Amino acid sequence: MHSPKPTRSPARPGAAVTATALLACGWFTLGCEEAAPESATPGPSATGGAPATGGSGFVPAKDAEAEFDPAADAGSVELPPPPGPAQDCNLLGASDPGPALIRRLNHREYDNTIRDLIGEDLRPSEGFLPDEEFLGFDNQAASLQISPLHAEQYMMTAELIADRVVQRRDEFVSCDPVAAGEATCLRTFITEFGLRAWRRPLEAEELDALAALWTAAAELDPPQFDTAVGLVVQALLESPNFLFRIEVGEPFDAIRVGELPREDPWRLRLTDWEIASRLSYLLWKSMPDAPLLEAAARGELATVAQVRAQAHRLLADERARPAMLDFFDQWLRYAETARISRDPNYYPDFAPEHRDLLVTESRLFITNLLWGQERDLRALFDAPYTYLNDALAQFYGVPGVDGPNFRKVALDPNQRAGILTQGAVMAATAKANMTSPVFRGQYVRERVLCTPLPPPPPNIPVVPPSPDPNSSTREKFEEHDRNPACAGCHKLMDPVGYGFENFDAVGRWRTEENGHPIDASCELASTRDADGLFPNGAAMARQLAQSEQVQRCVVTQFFRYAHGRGETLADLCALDDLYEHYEAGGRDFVALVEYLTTTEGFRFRRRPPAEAPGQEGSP
Amino acid sequence: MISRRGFLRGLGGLTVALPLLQVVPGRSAKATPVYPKRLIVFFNPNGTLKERWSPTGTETDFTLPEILLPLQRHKQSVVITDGIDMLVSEEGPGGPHNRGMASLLTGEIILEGPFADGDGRLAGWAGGISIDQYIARELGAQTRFTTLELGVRAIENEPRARISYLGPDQPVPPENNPASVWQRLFAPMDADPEMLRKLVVQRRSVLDVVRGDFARLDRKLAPEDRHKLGQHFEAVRDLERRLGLAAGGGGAMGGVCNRPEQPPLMDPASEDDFERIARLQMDMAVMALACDLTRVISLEFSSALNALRFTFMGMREQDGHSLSHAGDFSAELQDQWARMLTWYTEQFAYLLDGLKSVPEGEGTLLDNTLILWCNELSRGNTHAHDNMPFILAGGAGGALRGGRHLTYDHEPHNNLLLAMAQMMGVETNTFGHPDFCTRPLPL
Repeated sequence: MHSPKPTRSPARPGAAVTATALLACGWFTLGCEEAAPESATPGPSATGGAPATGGSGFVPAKDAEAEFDPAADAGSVELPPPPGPAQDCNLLGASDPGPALIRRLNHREYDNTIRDLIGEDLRPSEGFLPDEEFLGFDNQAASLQISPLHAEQYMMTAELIADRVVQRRDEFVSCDPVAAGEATCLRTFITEFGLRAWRRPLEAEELDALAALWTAAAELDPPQFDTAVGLVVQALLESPNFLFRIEVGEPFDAIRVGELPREDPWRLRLTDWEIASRLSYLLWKSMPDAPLLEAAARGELATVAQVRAQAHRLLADERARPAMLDFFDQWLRYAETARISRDPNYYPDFAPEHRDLLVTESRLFITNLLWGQERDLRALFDAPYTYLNDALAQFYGVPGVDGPNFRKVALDPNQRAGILTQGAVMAATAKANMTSPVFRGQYVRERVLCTPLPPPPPNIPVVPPSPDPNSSTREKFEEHDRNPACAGCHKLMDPVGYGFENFDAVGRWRTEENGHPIDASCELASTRDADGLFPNGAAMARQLAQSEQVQRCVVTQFFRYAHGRGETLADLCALDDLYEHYEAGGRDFVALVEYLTTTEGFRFRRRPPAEAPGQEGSP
Repeated sequence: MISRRGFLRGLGGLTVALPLLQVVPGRSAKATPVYPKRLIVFFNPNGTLKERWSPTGTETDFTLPEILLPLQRHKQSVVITDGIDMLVSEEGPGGPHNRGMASLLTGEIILEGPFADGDGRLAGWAGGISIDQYIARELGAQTRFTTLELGVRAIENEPRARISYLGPDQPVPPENNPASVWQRLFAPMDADPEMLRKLVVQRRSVLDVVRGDFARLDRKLAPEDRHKLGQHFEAVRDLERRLGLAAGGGGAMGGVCNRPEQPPLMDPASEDDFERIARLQMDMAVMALACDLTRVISLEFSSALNALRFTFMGMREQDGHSLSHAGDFSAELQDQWARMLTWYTEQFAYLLDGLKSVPEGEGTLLDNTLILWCNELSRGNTHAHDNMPFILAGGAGGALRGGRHLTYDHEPHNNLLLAMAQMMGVETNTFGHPDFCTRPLPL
């Protein structure tokens, strides 16, 4: 991979890069280490979901042994500086749009694409192997592979879809095979359906290869035309051109795309067709609709204004809402609560239906924040209200909420503030039979602050004393502080997590545990601008809401989700630019999304290094 | 088009597509069949307690201690080892669990990647092909499935839940849902042979066109993108190659190919159903070998750093990973951990029971199978990779003699993997990272 254009050098590589070895301290337990929280598909957990970079700009983490002395006082642990603004962004020169990787459709995108392609919501991916996760997201290029079993599942699904298309042939075939001639009509079908399936016009060679299935159909059950249509659909849907979003790009005329003419050896623009898919998969998590494909066909996705107009249209559509929620679902992990199991011996009145109610609360909260009147995303962390219906209010013990419809309910600001104190987040970061200050602290560090934790101790025996089983959760975890091998790392997680001890493992308020009064005093340390001591998690959340580091983290997380990869050194200026627009726009998330579609990284790709014909065929 | 009769009613009411491949039930064996060698890898995580695991006595006259006691009835079929070190797991980025997972079956150093982990560096996937996939290149060519990866609550989509690899950065995820496994392996037994014949014709035509797409794309793509598509291409070629096997080969090696009962729908993440799912997966594994649907299987019980409690045994307080960390002076917690470890031995014994129940010629399926029992750590509360708890079982078609307890002097585990390859008839003199492979493990 070639190097980014050397016109700028991040002054503080360790600082500006949020990509990090957030780690883990994860491999210590019961004493030092915690196992993953109980959920059906634990997402970012003890070891997972950490922010990181990919590609050539990988930011090397600091040397573990040099940095960390397990016996040292925890307060002296040297942290990499938290994320801050990149510097020296030379915006006049041609910039590097960062790595561009082909991406397999993830399961949600695949299901939606099938739905929009044939008009039936079959959700075939429910029977597939799950998508691998990366950086806490399931849409990352590096982790979306096709194993032999995947290929088999795609093949069988393509056969199913082909059958559906043949049954409803007249909706998909615009010509009359008798009048037009069957072979000719088949080519028409391939041209039309192929454009939608592959999200671009087919090349002549591709059309010919598919049309040759006419002959193969003769060996199978009649009628031959229907059989051929079915085979074509299968071949289209099993192809990498369907399963992957392939972006080749093209050299471009600067004037046409609204750029100043300049020497530009680094970039290719994405074709109008590729832009159409970038827009639809980011904003709808599905294939482009007809107006988008028509715009691409007319070459009307070239300039910033053209792209922005389409992004605006897509974001105004209902389909954008679940797509944006998908980002929040994964980033903030509350959606995992839909799949948790809780031990009935510990939480006897937690019923399966409470899981969906809790997730609905968080989703409504976010949806209203994104599309409501007050859009400043700081409220995500400090809103003094939430959304409840009667069943959920009863579960929480909140009086005066009647009826099955969710409505806005004011909260006691001494107890709760924003998403972090909502039941779904509290449950997703707990275990089946207890809370986990470690996980809750790690969650805040990793998801909300985008900060790295220092390396844990080298591989030495970790044999903590057994805690008194009758002690409170906090007392058990405070063993970490007394054990120097644990304290360095845990000091950054546990004191954050203690702030949420008022919330049990199903998210309800509690004031005592095992007869011990809850102590929810907590501390944020080693942040850029949010350090402090707080009486409880709600107070800490209000501090986080005001933090620039947190708001930069929002942008970074969305960048990863939008581009399907971790940020690299080449992206620092792009992140800075995104943050500045976000901040200037009053932290309106939907506006941030729209702005991102107009940026360099969205409209261009790196020119591959091995473009010379002689280099083809290298592995 | 294939007639719609071919569609089967599947999970959640959604019609699932046509079966992949045909099974010929109960086909009688040839006069003097040559029974193939098979391989099973059996994995459970987070180490063990070697002082309650290692046999005492001599090489051939030994006593099984507490954790291995359920193997008493199979004592003559197992080779228990001490003194094998996973040296390669001490290299590379990431914490000891992830490093152990990545090198356990590959013998390679873990790659750097996106997963935050213990040493401040970022753990990635494994750096090479795993021994099951490697051996399957030879053994798997003639069966309808090259390999099967079966999981029992190995549900995280991360390196800590992967043992099998097709190559560097190419994890092979396990199927944790018994109903899906059954649908894939055994549902096709209902299918009409004429329909299946046409299905092969159809699939061959379609895959032929798809193969052309790869060639056309290859001309346009950057090298790293070609690599990604290369994996897809290999998967498609694998499908294509296997189509030819639909009409012949396989099926009822010893005349004991019976379709297992269709499993009920269960939540693969359930703690309560952990044991039930384990039994279903093992039953289907045995029958997949008996029917010669595949010759290489991995059975992955849970994952490193799991949060799995044995609620089905009434153990609700602590999960396995937490218990594996219990200090050596926490007798009560270590006793709980030993109970879990003993349960895994019971499952291993159950698997051997199943293999032994399938007659093949003068012997049984167990005689023709090599089973490796492995773990990514030797001990949870030290995260050690030395003196690993490796056990081999089965006859490996005459290549392995059981009933022994072997003690080595710091033998690198790559040597064990190499010896396995050789026992299975793969001609090679090294496996995994060459620095850690000095000779085939003498067995």
